[in-house]
Amino acid sequence: MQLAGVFTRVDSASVTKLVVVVGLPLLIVALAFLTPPAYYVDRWAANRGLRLTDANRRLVDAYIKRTRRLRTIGGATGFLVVVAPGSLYMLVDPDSGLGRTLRRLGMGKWFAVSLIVGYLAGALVAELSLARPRDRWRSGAALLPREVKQYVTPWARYMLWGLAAILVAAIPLPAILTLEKDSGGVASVARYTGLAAAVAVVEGLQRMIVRRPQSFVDPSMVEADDAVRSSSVHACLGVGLTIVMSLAATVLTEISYDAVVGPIRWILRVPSIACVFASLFVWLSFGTSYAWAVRRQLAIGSPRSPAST
Amino acid sequence: MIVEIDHTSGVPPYEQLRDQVSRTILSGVLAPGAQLPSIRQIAADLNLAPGTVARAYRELERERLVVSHRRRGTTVAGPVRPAGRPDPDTDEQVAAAARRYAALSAQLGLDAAAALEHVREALSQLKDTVQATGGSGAETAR
Repeated sequence: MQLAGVFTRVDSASVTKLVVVVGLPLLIVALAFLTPPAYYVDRWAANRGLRLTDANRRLVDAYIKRTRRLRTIGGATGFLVVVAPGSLYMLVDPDSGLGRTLRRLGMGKWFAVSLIVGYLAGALVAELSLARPRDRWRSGAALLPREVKQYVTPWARYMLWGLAAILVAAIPLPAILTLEKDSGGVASVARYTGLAAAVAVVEGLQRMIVRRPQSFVDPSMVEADDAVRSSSVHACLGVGLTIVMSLAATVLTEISYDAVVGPIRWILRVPSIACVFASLFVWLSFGTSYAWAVRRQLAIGSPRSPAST
Repeated sequence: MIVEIDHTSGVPPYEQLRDQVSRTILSGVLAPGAQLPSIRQIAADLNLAPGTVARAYRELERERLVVSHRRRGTTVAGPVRPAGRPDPDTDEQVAAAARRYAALSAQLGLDAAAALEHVREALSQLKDTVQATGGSGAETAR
């Protein structure tokens, strides 16, 4: 009875909105639990120059399933945590206790950040929790160094640092183009501190993934584990690039609205929109189909052929 | 190019590691200038203490098979001597290695004949590997 008193604004439009907002992410999560067809594993391996054996196929198969599920669960959770309270708020009495609580939680504009952080967390959990077979009494190691640059597309790493540097160097630009005396004050400092922290965290996570112990006696397992790590590193890097490109798009949009010279407003909207699409493309591509053949040659006569799609 | 440590073996892990890296270098699988993994990486992969790996690397350095640089890490040493010119230290180094092997054999309870048979077998395998890899290890092998 008391609950019915709280839900005073229930109408079909609000309920539909809530069902869509909650139901769509849950549907995507359910789809992620479907077992990928066998050819998908073969293609995943072939694109990375990986020869599948009976032993390493199990590792790759388990990784693909786990990472799809956990990345999707992470992203959906991040999205729902921020968006669901806002949708629920539309149904309740705004002056009730629940209404006031939901209003305080209303952080709808942060949904993209929350979604991508959840996705990153899911990718990390998938990588760290993947069970690698270990022999208690025997351990093996490849006599080759492991460095991040072997596991990741060079242009993407340069782009992450390059774009971040350009954004920092362009801090005075909005003030110049909009003739404002300050460039955002505390909000601006927080924004660029967040950018630096995000880039540093992404770099640190890439190193952590690559440097984790790799104890295999079977070379085919080392190759499979390298491919798995490369995939996780790319997911991480994709998140970093998305964050940096989204910030670039935000800055360009802000300038385009406030610029004093008319043509600049229109000119800046083009790269702004391009950054939005590029950030989505990089995130989705690095998280799914992008493949990189790890640059480690385990044995003479069996170099891994570089392949990227 | 994978080294393997048997944690149940009576041979100390540093000796197992030194022996396998040494063989990999002498057979030419690791070319001169090739970088070896850092001590920390190998120790984590093999589930060994960093000091154990450092000891194996020190032994390899003493045998002039690897060179340690402060910034570049550990790399496989180049040819120890130009082809055809005798190295005055060769006898001494081989004798030292033989003494270590003799001590290890005795420790493991091998008689002299069995120990020598292992040496013959190892030399034969090395010869085969060098031939199979096009003789790239011949200059490095001492």
